[in-house]
Amino acid sequence: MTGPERPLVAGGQVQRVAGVARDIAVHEQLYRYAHDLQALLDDKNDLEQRYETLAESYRQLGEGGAILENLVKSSHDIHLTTTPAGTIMQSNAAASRLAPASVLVGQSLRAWVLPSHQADFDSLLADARTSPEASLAERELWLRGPATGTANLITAVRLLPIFKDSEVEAIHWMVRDLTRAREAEFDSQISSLVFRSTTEGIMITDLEGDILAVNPAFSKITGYKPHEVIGRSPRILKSGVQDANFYHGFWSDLKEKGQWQGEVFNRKKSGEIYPEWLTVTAASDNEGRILSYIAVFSDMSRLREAEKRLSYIAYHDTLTGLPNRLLFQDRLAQTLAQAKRSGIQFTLIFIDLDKFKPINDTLGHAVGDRVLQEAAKRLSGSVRECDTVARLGGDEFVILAPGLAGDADIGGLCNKMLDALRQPIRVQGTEVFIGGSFGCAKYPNQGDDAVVLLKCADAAMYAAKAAGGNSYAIYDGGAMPVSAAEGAS
Amino acid sequence: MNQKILIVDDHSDIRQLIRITLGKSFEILEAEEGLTALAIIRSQRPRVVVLDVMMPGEMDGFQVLEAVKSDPALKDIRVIMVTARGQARDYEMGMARGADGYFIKPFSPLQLTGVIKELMK
Repeated sequence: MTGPERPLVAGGQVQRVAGVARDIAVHEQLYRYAHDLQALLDDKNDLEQRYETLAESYRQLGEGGAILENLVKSSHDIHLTTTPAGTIMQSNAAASRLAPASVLVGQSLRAWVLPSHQADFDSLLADARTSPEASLAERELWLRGPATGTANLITAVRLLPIFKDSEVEAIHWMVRDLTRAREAEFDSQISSLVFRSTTEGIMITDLEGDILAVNPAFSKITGYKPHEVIGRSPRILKSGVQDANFYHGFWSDLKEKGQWQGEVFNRKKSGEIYPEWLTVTAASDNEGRILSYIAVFSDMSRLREAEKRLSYIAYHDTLTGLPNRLLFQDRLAQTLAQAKRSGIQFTLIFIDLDKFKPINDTLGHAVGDRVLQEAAKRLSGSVRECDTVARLGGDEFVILAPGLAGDADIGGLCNKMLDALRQPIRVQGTEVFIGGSFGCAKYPNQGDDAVVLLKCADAAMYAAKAAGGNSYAIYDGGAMPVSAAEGAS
Repeated sequence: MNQKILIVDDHSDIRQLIRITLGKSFEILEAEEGLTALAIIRSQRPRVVVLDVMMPGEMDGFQVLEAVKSDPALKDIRVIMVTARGQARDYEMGMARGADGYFIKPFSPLQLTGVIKELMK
């Protein structure tokens, strides 16, 4: 644009040209104004839009504020505001776990802190005033309950300092009660300890019966390591001893009563079948839904062994290990019943040791006991496998010999035993000598009654003893034994 | 504080436009040629002068600028030069004579307002 320059140096015509140039300049300037105006209008619209958005979010924030306020009011956590020094100014409903608001307000919160945690409380308060970032971290405080005797509260505390003109004006306390959680934690620790340390096997299964967990005692009893059974069915433990009926009853009990108890036989990893005392409990949640089954069992093999041992003790003589009077009577009754059915004969031999009493009296009970043990051994060693040698008490023994009937056979056995007893017995560095007096009674010759047979044998024994001992006599009818024989020598 | 602005332009429409732009915030003085402008500057002491370069009469814009900048009594007065488009030499001459701002027509009224507010601080 060179136009506007020329008119300045020219005359009349120039004025017109200059005027046109001036109009153009004004137009251009007006367009420039319009341009700026439009830019301003755009800005204005933009600003209005932003204002609307801001206003809307501010309104929502206001509503949100009310929601937040209600949250604090109805929160299960304790919310308090205190002065920077810790004096309570406000409390929410949950704070009644400490005391009613009427009591709390105006008091120092420190009064509710247990002495063991008052130092923590002081440092929390100091942090809130000096380094607000640090006070936002959760810290543990133990508070006392509303009255003496009520439980203490284990709490996690967070502090929110409220500033005004860069000074801490108040402190908002957020106090979360951990007591229940701690108790549950403790419970679960205890449960876990019991689970791990009990000598009873524990197996937890889901509703389908698949194994979820087993304890060390389970592994010890069954021989299965956890990784071998978890996720599998307890059927691997099945022994086959229980039938389908059993399992039917088992499941119906469990579903109806929530528990089953009883004795079952299961199979160990080694294949061994063992008896166990089993308690299965359905574990339910608060609403009664069954979550899992818990099987607790103890190995009864040991118990069985003990039972056997006990019954052995009840039926045997502890000194000699021979059957005692009780077991002998039982065997005699059995043999009698069997003999009556089958018609076989048997002989009862009653034995009283000779020369035992003086040994016992002069050398003492220890030697006497040793002699009795040796006598028992020699008698047992002389009879047949099918014969029963029993000690009735003191130095009295009895032999039950099924199938033995003939006098010659009876005599043979008696002589064998007499011979055995006659051998010297070495005890405590010396040798002692004993002998025996044997009385024999035969079934059915002398009767078919245990008492009668024993009386007859007893009588025959006295006859042998009366004849000088170291001999046997066979009862042969009548009131008194009729024959007695000298022992072979 | 003095809020006077002197608008010097031989074109009344331009003066009117600038008055519209600045009149709300400042007290506006007007002159249509150089001598009058200098007289007003000396008597009224405006803080800012918006000065058109090309004017009829005895003093053009540069001469007025030179007079202001060479007078110690007027050293606080800020001068914004306004000239026709594309006069690079004008710009250099203006800046050399101590102009505080420089606009080429058509100028943006928003930019002018911004510069004046800056100079008023």
